[in-house]
Amino acid sequence: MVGDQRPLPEKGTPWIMKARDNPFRSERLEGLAFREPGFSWEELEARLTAAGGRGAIVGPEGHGKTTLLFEWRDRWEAAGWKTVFVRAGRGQRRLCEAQKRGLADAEAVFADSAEQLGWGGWREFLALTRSTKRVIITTHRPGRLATLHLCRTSPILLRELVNELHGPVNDCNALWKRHQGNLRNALRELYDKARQCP
Amino acid sequence: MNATITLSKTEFAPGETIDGNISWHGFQDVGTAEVRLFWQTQGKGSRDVGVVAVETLDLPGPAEQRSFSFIAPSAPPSFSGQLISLIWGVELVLEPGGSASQDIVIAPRGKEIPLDHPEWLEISDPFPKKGRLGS
Repeated sequence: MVGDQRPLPEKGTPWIMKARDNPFRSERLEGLAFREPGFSWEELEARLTAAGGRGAIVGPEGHGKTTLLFEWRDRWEAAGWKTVFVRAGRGQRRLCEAQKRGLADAEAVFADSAEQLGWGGWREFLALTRSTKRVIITTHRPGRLATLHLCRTSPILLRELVNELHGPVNDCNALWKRHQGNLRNALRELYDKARQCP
Repeated sequence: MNATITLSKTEFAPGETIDGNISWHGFQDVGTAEVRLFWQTQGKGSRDVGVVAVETLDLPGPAEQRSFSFIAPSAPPSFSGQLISLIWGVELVLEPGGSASQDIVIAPRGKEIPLDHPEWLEISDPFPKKGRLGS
């Protein structure tokens, strides 16, 4: 799918684009499929099995960890697994009671931003999921569980995503460097450019 | 497999009736079928979603054509600015199987409120007799 082909405007141009028409709105970013050169679900599943059914997707912010986690969850749900998704918000040292209750019956737990949990919160999470068949987390750094996949980005990947959302944009290399590989922030910059569309 | 929503119109004032038809065919073993009236935000940040009304259809078959109706709520109104839009919609959800949705506008006079035009305050104030800030 190639999106809106309008050229991005120069900074300072009066805006008329509404949020719902912006090709870089969050709804569309959430719709982008995970992709990475050489990525293979079979290899990822094999690494998970080898790690005893629990492991981590690792990478800095805006590198596709959550997208991969959601897609993995969807695959297992489609296969009939009872899954639970939890996310530790920024600065959330422990899961809240509602999140903890949800873990009890799950066959597979997908925990996003597990690095946010403090030492006590992490130990508690491990205790609550002791008998869970599959536990997959995302973290910024390796260490909490065996690393199953290290998410990487590149200017080529950014260009591919931008093409899908909007059409060609010239400065993807500089954009990628400016945001140190954080694709979410790079695409948010393009959101701001697009809303100034004349 | 195909699922569709047909509405008599797509712009509504609060209190108006939203009526239409849903149909689907080619879905085997439909367990549940629901028509939902919902709103969602779209824009730069994370999304908020609210489901305001649900009509559950009894004993759905593999092919159906049925009617539905909702009353358009008074809030939140459809609006749009640079950073956020609030969009109302009607969706048909078949489990397992598929879905269809249709965007609509629910706002005073049936017109989306443009946040770049301050005069919208004059037409959308839900408490006109109580005054606004400080009055």
